[in-house]
Amino acid sequence: MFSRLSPLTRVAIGIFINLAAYFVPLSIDLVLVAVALILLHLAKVNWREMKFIFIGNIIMFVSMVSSYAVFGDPNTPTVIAQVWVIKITLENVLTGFTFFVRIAASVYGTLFILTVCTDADLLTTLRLIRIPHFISMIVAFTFRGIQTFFDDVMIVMEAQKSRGLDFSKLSLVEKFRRLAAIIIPLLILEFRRMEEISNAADARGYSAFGKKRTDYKLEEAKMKSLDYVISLVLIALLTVMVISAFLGLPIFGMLP
Amino acid sequence: MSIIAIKDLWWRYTEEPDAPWVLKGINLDVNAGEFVVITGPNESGKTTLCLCLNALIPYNFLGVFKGHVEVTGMDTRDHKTSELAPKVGMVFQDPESQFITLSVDTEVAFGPENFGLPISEIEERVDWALRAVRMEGYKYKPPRALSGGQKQRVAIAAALAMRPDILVLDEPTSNLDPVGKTEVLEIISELRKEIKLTTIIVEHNVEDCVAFADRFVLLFDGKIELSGSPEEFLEHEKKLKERWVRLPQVTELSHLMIRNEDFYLKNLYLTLDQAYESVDQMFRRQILGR
Repeated sequence: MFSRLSPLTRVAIGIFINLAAYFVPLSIDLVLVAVALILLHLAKVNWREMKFIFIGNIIMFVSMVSSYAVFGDPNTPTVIAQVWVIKITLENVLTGFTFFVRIAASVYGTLFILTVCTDADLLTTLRLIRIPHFISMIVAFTFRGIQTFFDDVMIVMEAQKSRGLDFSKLSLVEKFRRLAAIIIPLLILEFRRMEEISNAADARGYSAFGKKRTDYKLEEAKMKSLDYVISLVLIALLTVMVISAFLGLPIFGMLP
Repeated sequence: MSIIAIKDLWWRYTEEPDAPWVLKGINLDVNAGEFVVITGPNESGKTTLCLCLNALIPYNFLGVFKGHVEVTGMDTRDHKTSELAPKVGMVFQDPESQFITLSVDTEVAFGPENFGLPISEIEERVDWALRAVRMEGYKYKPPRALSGGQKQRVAIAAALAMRPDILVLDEPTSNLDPVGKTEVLEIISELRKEIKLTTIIVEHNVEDCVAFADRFVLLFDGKIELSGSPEEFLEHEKKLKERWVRLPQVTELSHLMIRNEDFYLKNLYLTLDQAYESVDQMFRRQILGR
């Protein structure tokens, strides 16, 4: 469904949810979280794979609300419980809950970006906002490096296992002592890869500061009228939210 | 005039005066459209020689360079790798280390993008190159979704999309499993028939290339020891065995048969098909009397 939108618009939606959550009161934060969950559903996210995120949310909820309840401002008026000298007030509980909802909105906004954008889309987004190409190349190499790094770790560990070094059978102290047997060959392998990738880029005519190059993907990723409409609405909303928050205007209600 | 002219090339990877030379006085001329296979044992300088063809040596490696390498009339000491890229397409040994971008189509388009070509031409070259290596169905796949053989085919497509005059493949199958190796060799063989592209390939296994090579070159300890057509090259059975070059089994068999006068065999077999035809004729003549 979101493939019709430019990658920049998809990223903008996720960033809007991330940022807007910090400039609006709790009621609007809850709306933003609901919107993020609906967008994730429309993006056909696999909810079974999200269970760890939900478990994390529950842990975060309990820890934030209890932290604010116990360590928050004791002079807030509405006491709902008291344990020895610790007064638990409604205002502190709501503050903790508000910050939990804001972080949850950030998490789901970021999850939305990662669900609807591939790593290639994220690179295209950088180029759409005219980030210099060599920076997007660095980001591309980083993404590629992450992909190959874990494969290389397995290669090195399997090679060392075949020489009798099996990390699964060692104590924690022994593992630290023997880490050099993994790190050193891994570093050598990664440095070799860096050199080879650099040579491959040179061999295909790449020059970081050379003549102007065409951007093949940019044409199909360019923003169309729907993208502009969505982006303008998001920018306008965010601007109003930020201004109302800083000027204390009750357009979206007062911040806690 | 040769498309590649190497004259008295010397190279070592260090400036220390007592260090050994990796390439020692290489002289090699390659004509346009020729398919040259460079073979030899490990550490003989094959990869180093390939790196000299597109100016990676001397620009990307520190060392001492002597002699001349001219590629399509351009001296590699006067032109950087990025300037030679439209002339020389290179495919490296490790398919993992030459996949620069995050999808097949952007990988193949990377070279033409660097040349500043119009998008319509880039699209046309990407589609053509992917068809040539039979990877058109994988156009939008990320590298992690590809096997080693598929990655290497994409690397060949990325080199072809630059429409170079010369294609250099440095042991393109050495990091691949048997299936991947077969895929890549089939593509190279098909490209050989369809496009008369000057091709330099480094291969340990002579048998894989004997059917389509115009010339074999034996590199040992930085020097060219043998150079010739497949028939001329494979005649030097003793020399090749001393240099750890494995002959095709049918060629070894034909050497044995030539030495045995009972077989009346005069020419070497290079491929299984040649051997079959010859043995079939012998059988019909000598056994069936036809």
